[in-house]
Amino acid sequence: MEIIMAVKIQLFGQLKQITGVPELTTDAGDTDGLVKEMAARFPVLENLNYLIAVDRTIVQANTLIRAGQELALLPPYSGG
Amino acid sequence: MNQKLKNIFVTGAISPAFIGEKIAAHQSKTSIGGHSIFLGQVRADTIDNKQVVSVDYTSYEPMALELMAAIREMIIEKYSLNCMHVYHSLGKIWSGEICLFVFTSAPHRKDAIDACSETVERLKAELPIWGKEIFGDGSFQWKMNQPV
Repeated sequence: MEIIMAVKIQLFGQLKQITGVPELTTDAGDTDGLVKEMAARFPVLENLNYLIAVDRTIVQANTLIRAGQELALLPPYSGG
Repeated sequence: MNQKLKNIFVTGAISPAFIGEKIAAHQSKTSIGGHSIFLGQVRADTIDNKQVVSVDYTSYEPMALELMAAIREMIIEKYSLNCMHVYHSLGKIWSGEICLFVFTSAPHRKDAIDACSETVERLKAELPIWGKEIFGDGSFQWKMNQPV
């Protein structure tokens, strides 16, 4: 059986401001689990849309999380 | 991070002098027939009787640079550009200051103009950059980009 390692997640924009931290760790095994974990830890996130990037690529479908990956939670963009 | 990726980020506002220097640097490239330039400026919006005095920009820089490199490669090829330069501010930019500079050059004007326009739209939609609008009383809200 695979041993699940805590994976580091970077937070940006509103997510960084709301949670008060630039990064978190998760034990979630996949991105759906990560969304549930975030909602449980930060109920205020319920009304905030965000995208999940795994190794700098947006993932839409549920995706396995593996040790060593670069995860980031990205609220709606507002550059320019 | 891939060292070959071109950095688009500058700390603070983009100065008119910097823009002028970039234009001047193209005088030796004589196959260029037209440049197109877009300059984004921080707007002093009034929301609930409070005025925006600055926008504080942050980014997930490694991802933004990878995405910008792909957009750049695609646009240069699509419009047969001589070159393209993109600069985006990070940090606090006061209202009235320039926060985005997109500069496209091509043999003919239409390609330069269309490439500039498409680059601006794509970077606003696709790059992980966030603007926090700060009001005169110190309160803030997160900027929302308007559709085209």
